[in-house]
Amino acid sequence: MKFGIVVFPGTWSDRDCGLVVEQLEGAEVEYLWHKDADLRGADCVILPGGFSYGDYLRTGAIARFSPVMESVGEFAERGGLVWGICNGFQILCESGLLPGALIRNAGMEFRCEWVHLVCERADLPFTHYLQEHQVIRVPISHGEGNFFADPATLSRLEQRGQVVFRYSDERGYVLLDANPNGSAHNIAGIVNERGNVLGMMPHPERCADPQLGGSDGLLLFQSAVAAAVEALAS
Amino acid sequence: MIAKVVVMPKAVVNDPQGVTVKQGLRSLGFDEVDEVRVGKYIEIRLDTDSEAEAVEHVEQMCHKLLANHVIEDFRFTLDARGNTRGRQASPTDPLPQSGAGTTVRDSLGAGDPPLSSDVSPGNRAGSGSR
Repeated sequence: MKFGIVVFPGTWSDRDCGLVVEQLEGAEVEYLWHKDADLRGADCVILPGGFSYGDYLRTGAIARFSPVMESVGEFAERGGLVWGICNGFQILCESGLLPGALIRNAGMEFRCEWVHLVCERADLPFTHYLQEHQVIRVPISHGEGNFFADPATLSRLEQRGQVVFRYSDERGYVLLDANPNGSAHNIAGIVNERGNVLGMMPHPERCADPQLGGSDGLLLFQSAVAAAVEALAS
Repeated sequence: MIAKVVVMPKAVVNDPQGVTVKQGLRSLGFDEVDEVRVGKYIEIRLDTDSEAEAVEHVEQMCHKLLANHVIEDFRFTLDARGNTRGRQASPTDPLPQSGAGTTVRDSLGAGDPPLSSDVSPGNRAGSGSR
């Protein structure tokens, strides 16, 4: 299977994602320049972290007009796997592929640290190597990761089980103290209703090697590979 | 014509930037500062003479790009005097609320309070160029 990793001007986690993918059995990587609408046969498109277009106007606001994003939208519409990480999550919200918005962290600080996430959906293409309620340790690195949605949207997300990851303590308790950025309901990651578009602020690609302090992130990449391989086989 | 667009965080959205600026102002001794909200001011020079078209297009610009309706509201004025050649528009220009040469629109409809510069005694909306 093939991961297509989108590169915008200002993207900075594309190579980190690519390095992880290169180590996965059965997966190859293709970098997709944002001006190129061709997804080159990608089975899973990653919108990586960074500061696309310098975060001008709003994070992700300009990136969504790139030619590649129209293709990503159509790909998602057909059920293709789309995975937005950090700035990629912001782009998915701006483009309307996911609800809500990511605003300035409460406290105004850029937060760059390890956090714990509790997984609430272990049945997704991106998470089926995890257990439900499993706690993983993943780094965050963002200034605008404060998930906001109006009350109706939030309750819809909750009712439909679209919250995939919440900031928690190491035991998996969702506490205010464990919320690094003020996100509503401690939300760290959500999925669309269909389950094929995932957006998350934490960086699984930065914890996919024990030498980098943790390898929990590898489970998400392995899940996506297995799901894509299965989809190709069927 | 110049469109002067103001984008503000919605009232229901926390504005940590505003809170931080408020704390700064209060620590400078401005104890009367009750609330601060920080938004964006965007100026767009338009090559058109049709005010109706400008209103329609700027509204579309706000909806499609300049403001994110999930978290922000917008309002704008059109300043026909922007047609004056050589005029340097500046963010410190007042935002006229109404009157000759201006059109006012916003995402909320009526009732959005004007910026203080709209009503300040030092309003120089009529100066044309400087």
